[in-house]
Amino acid sequence: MACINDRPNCGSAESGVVPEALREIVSWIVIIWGAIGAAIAVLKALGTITVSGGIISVGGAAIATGFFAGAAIGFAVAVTTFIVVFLSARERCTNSAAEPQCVAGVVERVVESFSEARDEWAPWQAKHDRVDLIVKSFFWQIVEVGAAYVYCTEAPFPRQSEIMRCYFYDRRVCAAAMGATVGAAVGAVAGIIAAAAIAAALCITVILCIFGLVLAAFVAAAIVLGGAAIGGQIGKAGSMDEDPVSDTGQAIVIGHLLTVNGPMERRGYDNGANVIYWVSAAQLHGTSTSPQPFSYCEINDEFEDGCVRAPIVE
Amino acid sequence: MRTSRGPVAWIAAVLEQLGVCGNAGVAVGVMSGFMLTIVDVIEGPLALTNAEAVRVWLLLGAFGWLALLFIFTVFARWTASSVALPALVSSALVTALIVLVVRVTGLYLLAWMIGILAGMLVGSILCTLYKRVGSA
Repeated sequence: MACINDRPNCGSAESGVVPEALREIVSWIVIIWGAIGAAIAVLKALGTITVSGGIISVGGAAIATGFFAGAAIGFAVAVTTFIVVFLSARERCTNSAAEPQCVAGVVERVVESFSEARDEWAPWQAKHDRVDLIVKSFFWQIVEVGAAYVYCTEAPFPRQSEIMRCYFYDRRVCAAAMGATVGAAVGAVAGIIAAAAIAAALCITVILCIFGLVLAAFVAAAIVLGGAAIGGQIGKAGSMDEDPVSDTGQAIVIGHLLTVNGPMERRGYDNGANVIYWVSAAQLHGTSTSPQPFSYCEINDEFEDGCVRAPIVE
Repeated sequence: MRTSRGPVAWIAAVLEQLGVCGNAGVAVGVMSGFMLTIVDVIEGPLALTNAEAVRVWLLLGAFGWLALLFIFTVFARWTASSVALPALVSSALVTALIVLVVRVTGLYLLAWMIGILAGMLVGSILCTLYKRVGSA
């Protein structure tokens, strides 16, 4: 069968304007910093917080003003950073409850977990092993469900093909994420103490105090992320790497013809594209003999896939 | 997409409407305003002179810029070179507006809230400007 007349709906579609990761952290910044700011303002207005001679009294407990300011900033920074690390780790290690889908095609690319250098120092952001599948044109309707973002090959029309990202669960990613969460929790405590100490030393004048608070904020964030990096490396070191394999245990490589089953969901971390997260079954049909770069034009007829043909319900 | 609930979902929905610049503005606004609130609490009611106000603005502007670079590169995985200039513009304008408003009104205790509003305003204006420049 030759190429078809339909154009793949590559790119934009109706994916969100603001990346999910950015929206998430800004949401938590607003909630935590806003809540602490509101609480302090209300307590001050009510007279529960009083200041006299460099000592602040909060509900009867007296501490140095600089220490209080640093602890407040450190708490806001450390808790925000910890929550983002925790949520990111949890998101990576929670099985999707989305409807399962079946797609088939040829493997165009295999991206192993921890393939980016930054995954080593931010292990809570590491991604599971990913197989990019150039799907048969029949499955474009699944890739595009919900007007999602669509990844495509770079070939010109009519050979341009749609790609489904298929994630394979890698235990090492979750071990690293769990370790990072524990490390971030330890780092948060240390970060708050460090921030309080820095501000206590620098809160002498208004300008110097603001400088001290700025410094305290960055030190607190750095300590939490440092704890997450160390914890993540410890977790990663204690776990085995798992390569993506087919149902028969064969390692998946470029050119393999696959039928893939698994829950499909739109992920903000993939530009709002539909992805299989995680693959529950991968049936291997051999290796493609089509010329590279691959296109659906040949793959459509190259093998009989294992998906049941049924109408798509959006 | 996996969805969260409660106030996080509500705030996330609002932030989605503000665009990337609005998110950056709100982040800078609430953090910078929070610092002013804290300093106002511990240093007594603030009454900044012109020179002090400029110094506070420069400090908060630098803080906001570095914080945005940190957020965008570490958490959102953007490149520093792609966000450095817009982040600087956003931070400089938002912190200037915060310092100006709290100095005129004397509402240092509510600087965190003024920061959120200033961030939303400046961010929305910047997003509109960037879109117009992009489409021109």
